[in-house]
Amino acid sequence: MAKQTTILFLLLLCVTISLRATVPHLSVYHEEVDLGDDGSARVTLRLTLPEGSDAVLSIPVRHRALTDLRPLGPDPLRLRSEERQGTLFLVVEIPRSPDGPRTIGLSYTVKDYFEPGGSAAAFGGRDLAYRFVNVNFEGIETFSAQLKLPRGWVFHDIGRFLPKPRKTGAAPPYKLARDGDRRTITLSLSRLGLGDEVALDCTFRSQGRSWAVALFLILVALAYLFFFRDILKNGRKPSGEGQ
Amino acid sequence: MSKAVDSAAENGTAQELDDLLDLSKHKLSTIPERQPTATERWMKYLGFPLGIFVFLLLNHMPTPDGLTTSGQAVLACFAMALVWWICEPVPTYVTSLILMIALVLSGGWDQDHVLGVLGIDVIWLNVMAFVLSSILVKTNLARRIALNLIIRFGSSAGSALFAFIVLQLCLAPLIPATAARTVMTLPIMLVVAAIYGSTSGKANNFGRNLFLQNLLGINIFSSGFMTGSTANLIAISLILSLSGEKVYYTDWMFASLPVVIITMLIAWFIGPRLLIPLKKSEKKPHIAGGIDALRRQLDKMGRVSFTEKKAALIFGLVIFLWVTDRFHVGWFGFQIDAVMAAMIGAVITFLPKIGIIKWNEADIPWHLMLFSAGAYAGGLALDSSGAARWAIGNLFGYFEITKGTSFWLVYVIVIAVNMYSHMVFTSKTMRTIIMMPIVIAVAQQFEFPVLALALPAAFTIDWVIALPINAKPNVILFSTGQYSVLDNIKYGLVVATIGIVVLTLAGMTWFRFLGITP
Repeated sequence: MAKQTTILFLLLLCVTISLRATVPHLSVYHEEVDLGDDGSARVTLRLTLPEGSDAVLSIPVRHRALTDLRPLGPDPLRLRSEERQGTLFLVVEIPRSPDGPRTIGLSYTVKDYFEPGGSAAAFGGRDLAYRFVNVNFEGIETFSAQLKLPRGWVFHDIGRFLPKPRKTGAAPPYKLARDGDRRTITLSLSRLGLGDEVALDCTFRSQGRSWAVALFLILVALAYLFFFRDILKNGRKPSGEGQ
Repeated sequence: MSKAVDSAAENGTAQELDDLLDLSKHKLSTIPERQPTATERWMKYLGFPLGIFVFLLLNHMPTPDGLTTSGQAVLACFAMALVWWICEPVPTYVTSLILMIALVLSGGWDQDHVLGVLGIDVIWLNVMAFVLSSILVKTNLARRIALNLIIRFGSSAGSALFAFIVLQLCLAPLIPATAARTVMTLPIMLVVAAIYGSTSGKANNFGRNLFLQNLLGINIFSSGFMTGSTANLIAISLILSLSGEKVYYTDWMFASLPVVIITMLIAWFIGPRLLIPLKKSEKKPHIAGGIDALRRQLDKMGRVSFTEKKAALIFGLVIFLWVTDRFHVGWFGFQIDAVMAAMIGAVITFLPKIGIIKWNEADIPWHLMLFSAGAYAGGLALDSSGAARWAIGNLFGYFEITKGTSFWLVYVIVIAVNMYSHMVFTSKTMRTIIMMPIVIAVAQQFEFPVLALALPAAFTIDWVIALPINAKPNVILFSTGQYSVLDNIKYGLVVATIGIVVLTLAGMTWFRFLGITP
């Protein structure tokens, strides 16, 4: 089901790409996703546009609703969310500015960024997915997206990620780090073309460990030391050994 | 009367020699019983709780920055297994099975991947190689080759060991697959060891020297030639793609071959004298009547039999396919890789009328396959979880290299880290893919000549000599029961350290003359 949804989503994006006029180039695309314990997220976008550009961007999002849409900074952006054929789009109208390159910012809240209940398959972890498809710009010079986990959580496993490194041996495009007491993963890419997809599937879980397992293993170790102490007494050193 | 006694003694000696050389009595699939030394008994006793302690320490500490909890779990499981493989509180194959369970239950790697390891090409190559090795034993071809080798070169332990160095050096440029070289020479090693009184059930120091020296030779002679292993070629392609520096076959050979030959000769000299000293009784063949008795035994075998010729033909076909792999596409339109070539040989071996052995006669040590599968699962999980890359990156970071750091200090660090890192890897390819980009990045970041660090680092790729889990030949040779994990560590680490010294001296002299180092 998830696969079918993804295919449908990508098909829709292809149609969107072919129908829309695109903005020539974007110097910087930076997205920060600040995840909450309840599955919500506050998303912040910062885009550095070339001189004199205006545009209407339609950014597809994989969520049911965007709330608290808010521009950041002095630019008079017009923001709204729009549903087209089952997919939600964040529409950003950017007025022309005669000044040089400028950075615009906006933020919004998503209530269903991830499923807050853990899955048994992921060892009580939560599945987290990030997607970005460039349907608006001819090229993006520098792309980065940072996902920040709630306090007390840590990344368990990084599953699929796109794009794959072109060269054998090259490091993957993501980096795990810490911002204060919160864990982050940052995807960094350069020169994204029109239609390029960035994806990351991962799981995260609570930092706590099972002390019951630790206690059990300690008991096993102690039992071994007691019941197998005859190892030290048994056996004689045969000639020719141990030299 | 005296003649009759002599004849009886001679018959007795011949019978004893027959028994000694009968490899069907020393099957690899039967795990040899070995009495542990006092040190080994302490290691067994303390190794088990130590492994658990290491696991708990790594698994329960706060997850370090840059690492996932699955990567942390894999590191903890692998470290525990490493302690147990070394100390052997439980048999090595049991440790492998425990590792596989631990990887799944701790969330380090998923079950499908863990179980799938038993189907990877290395395991198949091992199984097929043991089938091929069985035909050399069954037909007595191995015994004939070994007797010839000993009669010509094996009157003393030193010359017998030296003969194997020459043999492995000759095979290295011809057959890149180290497992293939191991399997080809293993039956000969077993017979020669038996002649010197070392069998799987009762190994002596000659056997330890012979098998460990061959382990060394099979692995590090691959480093003498650019085509000696796939990992070498990957290293060259990484150097080219990440730094634009091209390395040619002769560049590699002129630089690396002298280093491995010198190290091998040092190992040959110090092995039987200092590392695993031979007793006086172990320096000569353990055969009443000495070389003459062996000569008589060879004469008794008569002319080469039809089945021996058939075995040689089948083995020859497989070797031919191994040696000519680069021409396959031109000749056949497709590539027959090492596993498929061995499988073709195994199929012929089992064919009714044409073949030589039946399934029950194939001596396949399945415990070894489980041991290998566990080791590979651990290694692959380290790679896939990103834990290996994280650990190596942090290790280089620990040395705080800056632009002001002396080139030679960086050189020694790079060589030492690359050399010793083989202990926690189970695949040369994986190690190359992880290590080489880091070495190249270090060189580029601190403005050192890339080739001066990356090429000597690449020369260490095939030095996988300290543990039975580090490479296919190690796993196969370990199955003979001729040496312990501790013997392997002692021998391997000393030779690896000698290798670092030789590579450092070469860097300051020979590599500089060749224009590799500044």
